[in-house]
Amino acid sequence: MKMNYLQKNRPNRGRRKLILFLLGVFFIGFVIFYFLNGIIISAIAPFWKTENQLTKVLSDWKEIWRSKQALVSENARFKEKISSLELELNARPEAYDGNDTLLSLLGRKAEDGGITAAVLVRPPQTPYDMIIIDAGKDDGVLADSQALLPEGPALGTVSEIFPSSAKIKLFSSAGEKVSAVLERSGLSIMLEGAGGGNFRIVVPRETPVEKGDRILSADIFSRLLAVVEDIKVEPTDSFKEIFARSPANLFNIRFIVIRP
Amino acid sequence: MKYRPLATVFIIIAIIIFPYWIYIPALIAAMAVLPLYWEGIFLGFLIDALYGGKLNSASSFFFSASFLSLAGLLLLIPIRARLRSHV
Repeated sequence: MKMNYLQKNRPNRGRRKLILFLLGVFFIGFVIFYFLNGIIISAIAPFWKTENQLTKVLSDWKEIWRSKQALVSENARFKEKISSLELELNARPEAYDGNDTLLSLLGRKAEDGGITAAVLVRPPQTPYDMIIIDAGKDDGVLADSQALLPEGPALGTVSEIFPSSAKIKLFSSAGEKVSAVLERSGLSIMLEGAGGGNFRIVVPRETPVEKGDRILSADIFSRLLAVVEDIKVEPTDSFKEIFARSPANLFNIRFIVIRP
Repeated sequence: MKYRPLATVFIIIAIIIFPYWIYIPALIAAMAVLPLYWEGIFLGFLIDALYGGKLNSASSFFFSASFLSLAGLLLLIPIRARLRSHV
């Protein structure tokens, strides 16, 4: 009589070995990269510098040979300049003289100067909202210093420093939270990063907010952090969701200023 | 077999030069196509070392490129075992 036997399960030993192998690779990688983090960045930073210079030289060279293209890029440069000036204008507090008086009453001075640094790597090259700059410990950059645009708006804080470079975590990094103030109502809010230069805020339904409203930092300098782009409110909700955007275009930032 | 080192070199160069929407799909494709692409874990660590922040919370660890590469490879093991390349 012919017997049909149930097929035995495949032996899992091979699979277990693979899993252990992968976990071992992960552990080794963790140890290696934990200790070599700074060395890797320092080794690649000169390459990024050269890449930035080469990109600039190539774009200049292309302009000479392509007259139409030159006009287009010149137009783009002017547009960039206009948006930069608009940004500077937006970032300027409305009661500017009043601010100076307030600062002098509090024994504080409006900060000038800082360390100017060129941006080596910016989104979308970095998957997280991070920026790598060409100034580091040797140039006097300190951890947790503020990173600002030359026009004034605050971008983020220095998260890691290396001898000649530093990493800046932008306020718009996913999950990052920063205290801020809605300029229209003076309401203190918690600005939550949503990645890609975007922010999300939840405020009570009655809070007056409109598109284009400015969101300022909660510190005494009231720096521009974001601009309201969209407001979402459901009839049944007691809160409304505000979507804001960083005033700077993160994808073409070239210089930033570091202030302690 | 020679595709493996070529893919690794291409992804390393892409990580250093290109935007993330080139090197992350390339890494995922390499992990899916090449058998047990353990180099993907090291490439994940490279992405974290270059562009990642400090791992100061559990969520930042679980959403790091290195951990996601490991998770992807672990998930692919049983899937690959069930795939047949012949009829």
